[in-house]
Amino acid sequence: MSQFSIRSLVYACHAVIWFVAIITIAAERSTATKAFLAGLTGHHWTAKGAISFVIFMAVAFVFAKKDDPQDVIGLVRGVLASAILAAVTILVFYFLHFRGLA
Amino acid sequence: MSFPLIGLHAWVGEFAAFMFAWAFIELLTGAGANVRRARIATLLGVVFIFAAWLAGGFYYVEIYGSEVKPFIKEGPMPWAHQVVMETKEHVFLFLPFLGLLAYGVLQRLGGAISEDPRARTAALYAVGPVAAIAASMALMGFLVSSGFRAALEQLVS
Repeated sequence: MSQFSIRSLVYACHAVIWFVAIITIAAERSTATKAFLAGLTGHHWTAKGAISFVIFMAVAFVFAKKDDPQDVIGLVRGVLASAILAAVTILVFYFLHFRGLA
Repeated sequence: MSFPLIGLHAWVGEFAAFMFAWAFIELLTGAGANVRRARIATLLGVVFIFAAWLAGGFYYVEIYGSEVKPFIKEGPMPWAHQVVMETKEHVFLFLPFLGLLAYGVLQRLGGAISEDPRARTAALYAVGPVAAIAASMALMGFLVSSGFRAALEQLVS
């Protein structure tokens, strides 16, 4: 992992986190999207995981050599904020979906 | 019905949470030896997260959908699947990548973690949330299991 800058891993995490959040909601709202994902690997969830892995590696490789700032706290905190916000988004969406409101 | 895979998934998942919690505690002190141990714990945590992904994923795709989900949805706690499990299975997908980020941060910062408090804080921010999210998976897994158990109790009562 040492060949990847922290910035590249941070960008890759942001990309994966928001891909998962958006594709999860999109697949619940659109049967065609869910069927497309299922058609890729046999199950929509395994497709989300496989695409997430590809996105992570692609973004990490693209930004691998990008310089890191002296202080990386802001970068790492940003990922934490993304993870919390995306997790809450998914939870609230499924709660509303369960209640018939989304 | 026998689900050894879910036991394996839970065990390696909890072990992953312990590894990241161990790394977090090592980083609180942050001396050279602590950082080396934190790096080993984080690497082990990443391996266990990927193992949990494989075991839990196979169980979820091959068994849960056909043998567990229908009971929960018809039972007294349908939200255990429709809210909790749906959230769990998707938020779980963050973990392997947050784990790789945590290991990458520890690798890149290296000795700076011992010397620079800001670097140590960054390492704590990278490692701590992985432990917390992994632990939350166990809580959500408990709720899903409770939903299945409640559905079975309803069937036999």
